[in-house]
Amino acid sequence: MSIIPPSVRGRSWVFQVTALSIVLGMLLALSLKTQRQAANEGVPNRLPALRAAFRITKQDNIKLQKELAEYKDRNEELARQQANGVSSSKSLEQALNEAKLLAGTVAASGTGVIVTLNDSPKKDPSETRQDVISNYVVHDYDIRAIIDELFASGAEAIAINDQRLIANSSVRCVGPVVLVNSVQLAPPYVIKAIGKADVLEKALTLPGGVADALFLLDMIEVKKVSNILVPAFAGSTRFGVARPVIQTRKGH
Amino acid sequence: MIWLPLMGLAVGFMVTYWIVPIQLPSDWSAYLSLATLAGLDSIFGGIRAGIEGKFHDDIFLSGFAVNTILAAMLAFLGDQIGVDLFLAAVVVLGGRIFLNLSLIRRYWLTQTSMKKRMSDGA
Repeated sequence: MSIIPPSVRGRSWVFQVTALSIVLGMLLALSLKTQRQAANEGVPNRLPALRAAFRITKQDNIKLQKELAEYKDRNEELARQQANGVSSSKSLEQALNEAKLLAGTVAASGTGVIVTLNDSPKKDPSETRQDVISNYVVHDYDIRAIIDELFASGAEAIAINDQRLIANSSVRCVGPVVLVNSVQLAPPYVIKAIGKADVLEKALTLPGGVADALFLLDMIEVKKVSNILVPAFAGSTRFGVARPVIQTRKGH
Repeated sequence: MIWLPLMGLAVGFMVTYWIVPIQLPSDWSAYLSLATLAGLDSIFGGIRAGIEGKFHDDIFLSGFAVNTILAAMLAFLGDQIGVDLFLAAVVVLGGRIFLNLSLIRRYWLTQTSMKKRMSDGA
């Protein structure tokens, strides 16, 4: 009884409160309208708007970071693929170069020997017998013997008077000249062979070897050289009959 | 009797929201919200005073007018000088609203329980 007066006098305050409640309702409506308008206009509404904007920006940031990570991964993958591509093309190029070296379609350089064959100076000028004179002359079979010996000793590229020997090269005698790759060569015959210089030289100077008789008649000179250039095969490489056979593996 | 202020609130709201084509600049939205909060505080304060039997119409009316304007002005001033007085007003007014509400609730509860006891005793 002491807290609440027994007679709330008049109750007139209720009407006053009601009157101001109407004003408050108007204020509330006005506030709401303005707030909506601000939201529509995109005007940041202090803290809540800032908080929302911050949250959205943060989420965007997280998303972008995720995206960045993905792109980084992709980039790395692409770089790796590219590197693989480069390495495979490198190995392809290497294989091609080796094939070219083997085919003789590319110039080659390296250590080796230069073998010079010439007609013997020991020939008696007064000698007229053809069979005797023939012994003092360089023959196609001398050249063949020497290049066979050089190849057997590990020579990797050989040229005779700058005619590169390739898979279908021939060395044959046509009258006073020698034909190599269908090109006429005359003495002195300079044979350049790339390989292990010591081995090649020993192979030619072997006692009882293929060049023994030539040494006796001073027809041959072998010189070790640290760097020789053997030119590329310059002739036609067109094949009219032969066709490559693509071999497929059996059992697969 | 409690429904009378509530109805007034609803009427004022509806009239302004749907009927009166008044529109204020959106820059004012924050200050307007604060003024509304101050008005709410005054209304609850008035109800509490009325229940306590200490209601003075001059205090109530001046309190409502001055508080709403002062709250908006204070927030505006805070914005101008770079201090968040807006927050201070929100905290103070919010606290007072909750206090008044809790007191009103308590008076109302004791009143109803007393009435019940009296009617039971009679």
